Amino acid sequence: LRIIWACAKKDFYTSLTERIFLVTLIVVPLQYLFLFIIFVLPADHAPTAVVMQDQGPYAAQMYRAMEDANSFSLFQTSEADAARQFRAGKIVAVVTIPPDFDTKVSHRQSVIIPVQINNLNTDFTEDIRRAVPLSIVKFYAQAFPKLVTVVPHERDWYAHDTGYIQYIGVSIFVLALSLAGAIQSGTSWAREWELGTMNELLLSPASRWSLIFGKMAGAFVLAFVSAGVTLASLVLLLRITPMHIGEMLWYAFLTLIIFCALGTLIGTLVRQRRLITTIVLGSSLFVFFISGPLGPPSFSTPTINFLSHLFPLAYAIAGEQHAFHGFDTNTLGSGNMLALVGFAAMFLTLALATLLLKGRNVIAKAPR
Amino acid sequence: VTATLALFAICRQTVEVWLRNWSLMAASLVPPVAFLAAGFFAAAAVSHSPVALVNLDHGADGLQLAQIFHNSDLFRVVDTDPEQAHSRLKNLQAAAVITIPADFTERVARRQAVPIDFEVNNLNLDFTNDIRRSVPTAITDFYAAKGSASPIAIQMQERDLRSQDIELFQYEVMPVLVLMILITALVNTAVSTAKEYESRTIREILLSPVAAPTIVAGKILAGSIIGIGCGLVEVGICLFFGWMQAPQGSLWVVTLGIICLTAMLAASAGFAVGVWIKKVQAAHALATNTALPLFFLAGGVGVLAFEPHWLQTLALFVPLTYANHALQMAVFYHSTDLLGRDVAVLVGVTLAAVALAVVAFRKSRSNSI
Repeated sequence: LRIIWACAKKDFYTSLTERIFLVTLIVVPLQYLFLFIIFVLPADHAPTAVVMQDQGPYAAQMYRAMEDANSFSLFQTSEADAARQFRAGKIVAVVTIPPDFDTKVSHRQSVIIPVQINNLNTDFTEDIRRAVPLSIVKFYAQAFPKLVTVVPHERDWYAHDTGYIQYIGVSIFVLALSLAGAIQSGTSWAREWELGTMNELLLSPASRWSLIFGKMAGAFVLAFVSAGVTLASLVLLLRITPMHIGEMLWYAFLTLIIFCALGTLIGTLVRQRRLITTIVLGSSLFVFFISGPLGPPSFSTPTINFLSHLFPLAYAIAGEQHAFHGFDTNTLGSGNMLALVGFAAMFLTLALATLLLKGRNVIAKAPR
Repeated sequence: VTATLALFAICRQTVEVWLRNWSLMAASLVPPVAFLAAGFFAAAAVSHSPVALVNLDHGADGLQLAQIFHNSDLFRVVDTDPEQAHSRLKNLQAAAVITIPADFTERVARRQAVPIDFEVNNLNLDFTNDIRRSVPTAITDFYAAKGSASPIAIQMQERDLRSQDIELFQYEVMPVLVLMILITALVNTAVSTAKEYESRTIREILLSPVAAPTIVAGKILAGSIIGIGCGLVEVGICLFFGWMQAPQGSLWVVTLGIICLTAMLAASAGFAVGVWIKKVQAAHALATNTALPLFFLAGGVGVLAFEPHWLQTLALFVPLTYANHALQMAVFYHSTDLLGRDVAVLVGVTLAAVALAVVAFRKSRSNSI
């Protein structure tokens, strides 16, 4: 225990002196949080110009139906201005309500609504393609309820909708935990190799387990603090609060253990601090997107769904989504925790095995 | 002649060091490649959610509506019975269950109200709203197929700006190209310059009779070559796999010109950072942590023109916004709209960064002497 405590304390204080790394650990997850908020902000609100060539009551009702579709960021403008903004790539679409809209609708004659779409990005393009028919059905449901008899009837699985940012925010918290754990722990091991102090540690009578637990404990505390900044941002700025605090802490604890162990493994193998940051930052986004940060992996392609089972992040995200929102994003339930315990055991064993192997090499090369 | 020789010697040495140092190469290449892979998986993750379709009606209209759902290309539709559908929803094998009632055809014929029930796992608004929009879309398609007998007389007539849709992933290739150039040129120049200070080899350069602007130009040229090279490799890969549209005619010149300018800007800034920081770890962390936010702000993960006004205003102060704009105009719009403004900003900021680098370097040299 004394060795564990000494290793943890030493690593904690050493890391505090490397402020640039501490700042990186705190800033990177916040950057990702910001990235996703930017990514999500315009979603479902495609900027769309409406050219109202008819000012009649039906035309106005059609405009209101479009507003209620929860898909556009609408504004009325002239034909020339709409064309100018469209050419400049400022808007996704131009919807033109023709001059004879009211007359034709009231006489049940065919009406064509021209919709110009800037099909630059299918995310927006498909939204517009689906939102205009949605508006038409909404218009008929309000204006001619007896005429259009086929209507959608929605039943929701959960009592209330959850915004995209609220959902993704939780996934980012898991990303913050994984980055902080892996970088902090990996860096502390790589530092020992870079400075040559690793040989002293390996040649000391201290057991490999106590070295691993001691260094992991130091990394754990610092990583917990840096991930805590992301958590605080979620709670204070975005108002995303956990439904089950205990569960959230347990999943956070297990995630940090896994990634501290993984950091130990990478740090022992790579032995260069700069490479640790590169490898962890580089691979994290790739693994993150496979692990279902935007929705249950099973709602994604079969390949992504299959791959997600191989990474601990998927189970951590599922666990935290349940802890924060009460969502089930896979069918494992509390099995997510067991899966994480399994990953933690696996990475700890691998880290120990690698350290034992490296230790043997160091002992073999040591002068007698 | 001597100055030119010195410039090329410094440039060649820096490029050779980069080519030999695989950890530095990885540090430059891994983040943009990871972003490209992440973009690919993110685009795949948000499209084509699985939906269970229960058609209880065997009449003509029921079959027709079911076929419309199948043809919609919005979801992966699986035909199933009510029990299995519920189980699929519960086991997260389906994001929604759409049910066409048993008396659908009969009620449509009698013009009686007939709801199309859809039960949706509304755990996040992205695919929930997709489903909310898709069911009415299918209903309008259903009525549209009835021709003159359709009670829905309003039809949407779509006109697309370009003949082929640009997929979400294809769109993201362009900002990732800018990120690739930025990171390779900025991070590499910053780290290689800081390394000269850390390993004290800078003293030999500082005490040499070569003029400061020549040394600065050599280092910046090396960083630019690395940035341009990596950018061109990405362009080649993306063209090969069809992830990017090739610019048309003279717009190739615009595309290549913007790639070169972005690389020069990034390398100049990287040199200034390296001279200022003088420590490899810190220069690497600072360069990477500066590059990523700049990339986000310049519209790296979304369409900047569709973002909120405050973000668009903020992006005006980020030079990469102009590189991104010029490249998107050339590749996606086949246009040179505002190219003069974009080039002027990039050249202006590059010159400012070069001036800053020369001043920092001269100061460092005088301190050393």
